[in-house]
Order: sequence, then structure tokens, then C-alpha cells
Amino acid sequence: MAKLRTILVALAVVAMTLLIAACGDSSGGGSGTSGSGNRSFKVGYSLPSSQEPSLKAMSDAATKAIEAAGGTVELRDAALDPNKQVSDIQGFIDQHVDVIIAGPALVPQALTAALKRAQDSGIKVLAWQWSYNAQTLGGGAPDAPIDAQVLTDTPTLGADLATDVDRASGGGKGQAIFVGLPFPVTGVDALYGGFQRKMSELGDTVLARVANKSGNPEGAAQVVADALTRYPQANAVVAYSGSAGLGVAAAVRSAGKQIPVFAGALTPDTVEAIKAGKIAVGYDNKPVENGMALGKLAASAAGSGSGGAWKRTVVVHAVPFTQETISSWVPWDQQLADAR
Amino acid sequence: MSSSTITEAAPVAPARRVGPRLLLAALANPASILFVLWMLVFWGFAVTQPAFLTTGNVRNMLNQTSILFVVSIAATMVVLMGSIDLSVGGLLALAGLLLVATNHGLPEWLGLVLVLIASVTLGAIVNGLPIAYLRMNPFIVTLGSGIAFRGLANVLTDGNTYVLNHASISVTLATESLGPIPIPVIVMGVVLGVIYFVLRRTYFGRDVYAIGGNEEAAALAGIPVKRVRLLVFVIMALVVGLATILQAGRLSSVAPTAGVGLEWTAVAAVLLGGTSVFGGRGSVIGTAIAVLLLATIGNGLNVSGVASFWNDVVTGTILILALFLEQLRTRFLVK
Amino acid sequence: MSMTALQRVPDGPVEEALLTAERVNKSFGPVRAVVDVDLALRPGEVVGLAGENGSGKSTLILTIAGMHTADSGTVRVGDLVLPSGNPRAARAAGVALVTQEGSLHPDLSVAENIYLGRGHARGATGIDWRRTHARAGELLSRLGLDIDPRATVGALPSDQRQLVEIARAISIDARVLLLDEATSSLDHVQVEHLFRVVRRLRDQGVAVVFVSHRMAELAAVCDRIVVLRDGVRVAEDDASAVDERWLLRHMVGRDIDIPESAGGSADGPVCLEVRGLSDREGRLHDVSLSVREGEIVALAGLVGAGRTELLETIAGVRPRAHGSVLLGGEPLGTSPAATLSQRVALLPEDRKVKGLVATMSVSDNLLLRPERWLRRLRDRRAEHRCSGDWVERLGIRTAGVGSVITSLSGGNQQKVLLARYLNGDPRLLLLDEPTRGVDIGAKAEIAETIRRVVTSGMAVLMASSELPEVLSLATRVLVMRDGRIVAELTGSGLTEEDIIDHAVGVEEEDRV
Repeated sequence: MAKLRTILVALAVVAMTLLIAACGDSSGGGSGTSGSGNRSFKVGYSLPSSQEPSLKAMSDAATKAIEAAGGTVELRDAALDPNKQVSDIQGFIDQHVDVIIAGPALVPQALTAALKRAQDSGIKVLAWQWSYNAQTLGGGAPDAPIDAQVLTDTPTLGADLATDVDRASGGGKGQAIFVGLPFPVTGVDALYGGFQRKMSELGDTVLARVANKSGNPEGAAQVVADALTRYPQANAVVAYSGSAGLGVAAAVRSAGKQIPVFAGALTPDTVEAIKAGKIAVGYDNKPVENGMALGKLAASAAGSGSGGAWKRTVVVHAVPFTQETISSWVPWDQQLADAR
Repeated sequence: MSSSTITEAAPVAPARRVGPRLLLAALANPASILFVLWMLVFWGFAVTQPAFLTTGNVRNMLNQTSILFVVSIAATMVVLMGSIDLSVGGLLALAGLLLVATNHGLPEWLGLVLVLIASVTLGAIVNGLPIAYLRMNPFIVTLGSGIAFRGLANVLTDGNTYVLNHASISVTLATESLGPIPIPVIVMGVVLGVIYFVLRRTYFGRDVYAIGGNEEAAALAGIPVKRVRLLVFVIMALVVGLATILQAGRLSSVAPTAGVGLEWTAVAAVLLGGTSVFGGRGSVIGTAIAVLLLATIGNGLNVSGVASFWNDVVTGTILILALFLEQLRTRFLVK
Repeated sequence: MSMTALQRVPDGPVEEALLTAERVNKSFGPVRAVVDVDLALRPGEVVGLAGENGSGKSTLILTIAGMHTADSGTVRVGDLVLPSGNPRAARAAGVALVTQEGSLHPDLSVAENIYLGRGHARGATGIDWRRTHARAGELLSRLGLDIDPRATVGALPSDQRQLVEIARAISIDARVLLLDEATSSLDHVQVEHLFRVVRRLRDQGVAVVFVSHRMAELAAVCDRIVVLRDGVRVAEDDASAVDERWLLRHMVGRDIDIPESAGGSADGPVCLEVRGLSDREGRLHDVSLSVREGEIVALAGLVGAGRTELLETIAGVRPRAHGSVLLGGEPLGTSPAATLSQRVALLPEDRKVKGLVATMSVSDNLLLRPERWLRRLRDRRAEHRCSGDWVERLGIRTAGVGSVITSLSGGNQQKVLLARYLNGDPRLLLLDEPTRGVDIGAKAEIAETIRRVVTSGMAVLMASSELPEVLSLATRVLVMRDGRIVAELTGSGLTEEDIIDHAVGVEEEDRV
């Protein structure tokens, strides 16, 4: 009996191998060759998580721009798993897409090797918030292996947040807690860099940088509650995103403090919080504008050869909203409908 | 009941009756149902998604699942023995950190060897000794050690991911191919082959099954229960070390968040593959098919563009379906 | 459902049957468990229902009690035909059933258990406990039992629990009491206690069916004996007219030799020598004994006397406190692996828990012993050949050595276990209840095997509660009580009473 079973299994394995070997490389799937003008082109978009509203809005905008230029988008959701994102990129390479967009990379270092392979095989590689330095902030080409990128000017955003903190404290007396993410997300790190520099310039103090390990509002609330206990002298809390800001606002309220909360990237739910005054200032990262820029870059990349002026950084600036000005905020789907 | 004569076990059936005997033999194996399910899912995707059945995609799918695969095969051995190892993910993260030293001058081959040595040592001392010799509950011990390993990894890295700049060997292992066969697939095959062989053709394997089936009876029969337990956990840790290398090569980096939840998926695959949760019954073939089934579902849905949350829904449904079909099969066989 | 009132039964035999089962048939799938069986019970008689495992005796009385639905046939109590498969109707008609497993709740009191679900005395505000306890007390004294109705069942010794089961059964005013293997886990004192109760019920006019396969018990308490084999009723006779040979012949279907002389011989060199042995848990006190090569030494005693503990301590399963154990003059190891390597094998009392691995095959179970892993690989064909040899040698009935061990009957499983240890060519074989839970045919075969192996010089030390077996097999009998050896008995005139007296602790003068 055991022998028969082994034979069956062996046969099955051999059959599978033969079939797979026989089916050959990926034929079909309309891979457009580069350098032939704006004909139909394929874009592989790697989304770290479809649950994050701003990232989803960005991908929707990029899709609109790409389809308007005559291309198609293949969207892959990595569900916050770096291993899967590597696999998704590899999948795009195997499918011979024309352009890959990493929107953004969960762990940039992990993705570098895969993106390099893509570049070597002739695919144009775009990313969101890949490298921050003086050159890229001035619009120059991003670091290898990315050909072009779009980013939100988070260092300036950080500096703006610092200025808000300083002003709220009455000048030079700011004692802030910064809530970030536990893994190296380039945009958040750059934001923190700008924030820290401006704070010391203005004579304010950054009490601590704490990490929201869970990535959701509850985690942020917990982390901030602990920090407020450790630093009772805090008079401001800065969150890297609107969702985190919600959690922070809840923690601040339950700690009985009346200190202002500033959020880096607002989301639809934080709009209500701003209207209610729970968050003092929220900055719209303008995901739709980011996405449209990404999509247009992709279209340019698909239509060009190895050189090209499209190899640059598009910088988008975040816009602040307070309780007074929040009513003028246009929801993202509306922005998307209006976008060209 | 009635006085029946002793029938000799017939080693080979007469040629005429091979057909029904083959079918019965095939059905006798619980993995057969799973195999059929896998084939249905696989060819279902192959037919409906042109991008699925390509060398590139299949290779990608196998490479991605190689880590879960080798870990699940080793975990089968642990479960067969009536134990469990929940520290796999944490150990994977912690052992990988050794490779950071390669950025500071340590030769990579030495780093890889140290990873294996570290895994085995940790597995033997932290898991193996308390479970085998102090008779502590494996669920509790490995749950605790897993948390401790990952905690230590977080402490050492301060939560940061480290890029490996000189990881050529592990990258080659994780991404290159030997001819048409990707190296991770070769690794999968070797691990499967070795553990299959050990379980079926050695007395050590027999002892593993015996201890899982009835530990007290095995001990009274003279089986060295403590020694077997320790060795199984050592083997598990060795395979985890291997998986660490594959993972590091795949991402060209090590992170304290590596392998989160890996032990649970591995155990799920082991149970889905037909191994009894109490031990003493089961096979690595079943586990292998279960892992491939899970990988096919994930990859197929991905290629179809289905949102990844459906992945869990489909996996859960297939799990229930597999168990249901397994019930039918046992009932049919009794008849 | 109305019932004609049964007449109060006067003393002495009466011709009308109290319960009649006619041509009862019951099958489970393809297995015909009961085939065309008739059984008539007269009031005030004890009928023994004998047969091997699988003979259908349990199925028959379960069917009579309504727990199974008969395929055909009728069961009548007086003139009333019982609806088949209806336990409640059977109980209402006065048929009470006591099974082997027992249905008592250990956390409740005796009275609560007796009246569980029915029959509590009810007062204005719910259960009237005073009257319930009183009623329970009456019931217990009707049975001649001195048990406090308020006592918690879980705290009672096992035989008293069995008696409470009977009390519960007859609390429904039973006219018929069906006892299914009620004595299988009781020792002699407890069995005698049970028989007193049964006789008392018989004298009160109750018809009792006593299911068993032990000749001595059947002879002691039954008026007549009915034998089933393979579901068919094959024999019936007055209990006083038949003997063990008759019983065996009808139960098994062939003549079984009951050897006249005891087994083993007493003139070989000393193999095992135990001096002043005690264990760490205080179950053994200063035990000394010796076993010669070729001898069969039996350990007799009541439950709890320390026989299992002694065997386990010798075999190294239980840690020693004081004393020495020598095998052929050399000290014997103190772990199972050590004693096995010195060719001492212990067959445990509970084969399911301590002996066999239920998930493995017959062959794997038979060959389960320590192997040097690096010495060689498994060769299943050679394994099957080896285990096949043993299957033949011991007459093990199995579909094949590759089939799972649970497909074998209890007796055959025990033989597999025995084969495992014989396979190691032991010098000393320690057996703990080698024929417990084993059918008659296999019992005889195992006994025969034991006789055979000692002729080649093996020494056997065996604990057994089956006194007939002890008497027929043993060269010498050591009686244990409270962790000590209190008597050493030999001689062809040895009787069961002799052994029991020592086991219980009756002084010389008090012996009848």
C-alpha cells in the first residue's frame, strides 16, 4: 500500500513538472514594446495595503491618468507583507509589464533587489516617496534603482508642523511628542527630520519619538497614553498620519489634557475630527495629485526610450487645514472626478 | 468473533485486480483528497487565468512558498510526536540578525553557518531541553520562547530593518535557478525527501510515531523518549535556520518582523495535510500538498486580481471542504 | 400505558414465566449479533448468560432492556409485549439494567443517584429530601446494604458503587434485573458481597440474569446457565450439573484442555532475587522473594495489595527506596530501558494505556523496542516476516500484520503484547494480569504459551486475580496483602479458599 502511494505521488510530480516545462514562458498578455509612442502599455502597480485610504486614493488617481493615456493597470495588494510585495514585483517582471510603480515600498531595502532586476530587464521603475535629499527635493532624479518618483515634501511639512507647535506654545516653549512608525518608511523619516530640525531652530523641544507598532489608531492611542504619563510636561502631540491622529486625540482627551494635536496626512475620518476641533491642524498630502503625477510619469516612461526628461522627481506640497478652513476641503473622490 | 483462520498479509495483489486495488490504495491515503482538491484548484486557475500557468508565475509561486514549505515539513515531525513548536517565527527573526555582521566584515559563508549553529543551539537549549528533559508543556514553552526571541530581535534592532550588502550567497540561493529548477524548489525537495526518509525508513522515525501515538507505552517499551524529543526540536530549529537564510536572501535584508505568524500557518498546513493534532498519525506528503494548495490559492487569486482579503475566505472554505470530503472518504472506506 | 398488575410471587418455583424473549434477532450492519434467541425467566431464579466476547450476550440483554431495537422477535413481560427499542417502556414494565460502565454521578449522593430523574419524594416546596433519604435507606436495607444514603458516590469504594447501581436499578420496583458483566473489576470479597445481594433479590422473587464468562461465579450464584456462541443459543443446563469443561466446550466450540498439573518446575537455579524491597511511595514494605529459572510464580491478592507496584518496582518503572533486586546475581537496572537491556520484560496491567500504541499496526506494535538508529534502516518486508512468525506461533487472529492494532480483539491484542516481550528473548518475564479482558479461547492459549516458555528456562513472575488460572499455572503462589508478602503456598491440594483467606487476612483458627 505504501509503495503504491509513493508511486502515485511520484507520477503526479513528474506529470506536473512535464506540463509546466511544456507550457513555456508567458506568452500573450499584450506586452507593448518600449519606444513606440503612446500605444497600449501595461503598468504594474504594487500597493502595500488597500486598507490605507490615502494610498488607495492615490492608486485610483494614477489608474485614471494611465488609462487616459491609453494604458492598463494591474493592481496588486501586498496586504502589508514585504515578502508578498517582493513576489508581486517579481510577478510584474514575469508578466513583462512596461512600467512598475511601487506605491510605496513597505521596506525599501527589501524591494531594491527586485526593482533592480526589473530595471535590468528593461522595465521602467517608478516609486512614491523613495528618496529624500536636496537633489530630489529640487526635482532631480531619484536614487537607483528608481527611474522617477513622486513625493510629498515631507521635510517642509515637518518644518511646518514644528512651526505650528511653536506658535501654539506661545513661542519657544513647545514640548512635543512625535508619533511615527516602527519601520523605516522614508516619507515619515524625512518628515521627522524636517520636524526635528525646525524645532531646535525655534528653540522648542522634542520630548520623544514613539512608534505606533500596530499601524492603526488604537495602537497610536496606547503609545501616546504611555508617553503622556512619562512626559506630563508635553504641550503638543504630532502624528504622522490622520488615522494615527484620531487615536492620539482620543488618548489626549482621556488623559484629561487640553493640548493640541497635529496630524501629518489627513484622511476622510480626520476631517470630522478637525471640524470638531479635536485635531488642531491636519495636512492634506493630496493623494489625488500625487497619483495623477505618478500616472502621467508612467505614461511618459512607457512612451520613451532609455533617456528622457521624465526621469525626475515630482514634488507635491501638503496643504494645512484648521477648524476654520476645513470646510473648504474637497473630498478625494470629488478631487478625482475633477482631475485631468 | 468467529474462529477465522490467520490470513497472511498479501504483499502483492494478483495482476488482474490491480485496477480496483489501485483506487482503494489511493483512497486509503488521506492526502489523496487533498491532492485532488489541489489539482482542481490548480487547473481551475490554469484554465481561467492565462497569466497563471507560465514558468515565471509558477516559479514565483514556489519561491514565495519555499519558506513556509520547509518549515511546515519539519513541523509535521513535531506534531507527529505529539508536540508543537510556536517559536518558529521568532527564531527566524532572531537568527537572521546574525547576518548583519556580514556588513561589517564577516565572510558571508561563515555568517550563514553561524545562523544554522545559532538556530540549532537556541532550539536545543531553549525549547528542546525544557520540553524533553523537564517535561514542560511544549505549547507553553514554545509560545514563550517565540515571544522572547522576537522581543530580543526587536531590542537588538530597535525595530529597524537591516539591508544586507554582501548577501550574494543567500540571494543566489533564494532567487537563482539550477537549470530550469529554482534553487528554493531544490531546497524544498531535499528537505521533503530527507524528512520523509527519516520518518519512514529509520527507527528514529518509528520512535517519533510511537511517542506521538502513546508516549507512556513507548517509554515502557524502552524507547528513549527524551532523546527523540530533543532531536526533533533540534531538527526543527535547523530547518528554521535554513528558512532564515532563504528569507534573508529573498528580501536582501533582515528584520525583527520576519516570519510573523509563520508557526500558525505551518501548523494549519500540517493539520490540513491530515496529521492528527494528537500525534501518532500523519504524513509529510499530506503537509506538502497542503502547503502547495495554500500557495496555489494565494497565487491564483493574486493573478486573478482578486483583493487579497478573499484569500482568507477562500482558504477557510477549502479547509472546511477538505475536512468534509475527508469524512466522506473514511465513511466510504469503512463500507 | 396501563399495565396489568403482576401477582405477588410466592416463594418456591412457579411455572409461569416472568419475562419471555422469543426468537430475538439483532444485527449491526453485516454482523449478526443475536440470532433467533429464546430466553425465558421465571420469578425467583438467577439465570447465568455465558459466552465469549462477541457471543451476543450483552447485545441480547441490552435488546431486552430496550436499549437496542430488535430486528425481529418479541419480548414479553407476563402478557404484555414490550415495544422494542423503548427503554422507558421496559423500565416501566419492571425490567432493570446494570451495565459494566456504570451510570452514576460521582459528585452526587447515593440517594440523589438512585432517584436521579425520577422518583424523588415530592413535598409542597419541591423535593422532600427527608423522605427521599428514608426511601433510599429502605431500598438499601432491602438489599442488605449498610451504605449511608447521604454519602457521596465518588467517595465510595468501587464495589459499593456497583451495589448502588443495583439499588438504583431496582428502585423502579424491578421484577427483572439484568446484570452485564457486573463483576469484571471486582475482587473476591467484593464479588461475594454482590452475590449476597443477588441471592436476596432472588428470594424476593426477582428474576436475575447474570452475564459472565467466569465459571466459578456462574456456579456460585446461578440456578441455571444458558450459553451463547456467535449469537446463537447453543446450550442450557442446571448450574449444579455442569463444570468448567462443559462451559468452555460450548463457549468456544471445541474442547479445551485444562491441564491437570501446575506449570513450571522448581529445581532450576535462582534467576530473580528480591530482598527487602520497598518503593518510594510506601506501597511496598520489605518484600523478599525469589524466582527460579523455569518457574511460574504467581502473585495473588486483593485489589490494592501491591502486586502491580511490586512488578513495576522490579522492572524499574517505579523508583526503589530500599532493598536489592538481583538478576542472576547481578543487580538489576532501575529504568525500563535498563531492565529491557538485561532481558527483563514487564507486560503491563492496562494494555491500552501502557502497552499498545493504538495508531500503529500489529507489526509495529509487536516489534516496538529500542533500536540503534544508526545501525540499520527499516526493512518492512523483514519486519512483516518476523511479526508474521510470532502471529503464527501464538495463534494471533488478525487480517494481516499491517492492519491497525485496534482491529484485533482484546485477547489477540494481549498476545501481540506478549509477543513483543517474548521477542526480546527475556530471562525474566513479569506479567501483570495477563488474561484480563481476554476471551476464554485466548486465555487458554496464553496460559499454554506461558507454560511453554518456562520449559526453556525462562522465569515467570505473574500477578493475577483469576484464581483458577493461578491454581492451574503456578508452581508457587505468593499472596500479598497491604504491600507485603504474607504467605507462600504450594502443593497440589491448594484451593482458592486458601489463597483468599491469606489475601483477606483470616487467621488460621478462623478458617472454616
